[in-house]
Amino acid sequence: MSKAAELAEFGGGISGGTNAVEGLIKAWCSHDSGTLDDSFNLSSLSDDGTGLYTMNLDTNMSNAVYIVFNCGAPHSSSPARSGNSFGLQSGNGTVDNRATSSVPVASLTMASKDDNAFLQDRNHIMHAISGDLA
Amino acid sequence: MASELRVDTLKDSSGNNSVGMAYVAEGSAKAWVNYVGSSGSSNQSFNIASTTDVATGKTQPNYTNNFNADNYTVTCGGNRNGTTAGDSQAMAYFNALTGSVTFTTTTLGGTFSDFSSASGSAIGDLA
Repeated sequence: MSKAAELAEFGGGISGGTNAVEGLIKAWCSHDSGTLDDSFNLSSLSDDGTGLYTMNLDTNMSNAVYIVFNCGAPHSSSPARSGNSFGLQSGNGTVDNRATSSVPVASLTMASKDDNAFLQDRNHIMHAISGDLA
Repeated sequence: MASELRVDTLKDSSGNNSVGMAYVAEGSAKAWVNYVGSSGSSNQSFNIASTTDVATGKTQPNYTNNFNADNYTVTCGGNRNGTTAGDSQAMAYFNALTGSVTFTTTTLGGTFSDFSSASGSAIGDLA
């Protein structure tokens, strides 16, 4: 078995080594208030109530420390505002924008909130996860 | 002549960090950009043909190679003025189309505002 030190574009213009593996997004999805539009490495998406969605991974992460990116369109009732927030739902209404030791390896619950930190559904929500797979 | 590499699994040179090729294809950002909000000009980008300064707080990167549908995933983030710690700010995508995406940047109060540095990436399937 050969082991390449790095991947390189023909002609040598672009190359990448370990970062080519570590930098990949391991799971992602886009959805409208819990209804999936498109996804990768998801077995399902659960609608857990207003503003709460759980990504259930097909292949789990290796540990509870990984990176989550969230994004979404402004809510239709306040289209000029992009101040609505997303974060991880880590229990008791606590929202943290970072992955922590409390984040499970097989699923992840995200919260969508309005400007006043109340849970809020909206269309066109995206989540992406980067880190090490099991 | 350029070659085509066909493999099932990608690992680093030590044999660690193994991923299947599906993660390489599906997990790679297909486009990304870092831009200056006031002008819409990009600092760095990949698969971005141009950026359009739509209006204050609205910038539209246009893809070189389009997506196959408008349901791909977008991530974004930015810095409004680069100097004030804790300055309230927010960034979201406004409209994702196969050939472009429009980002909005505002103060937390909802006023459109150009960010000094804003970044976005798009993940999904190309046309």
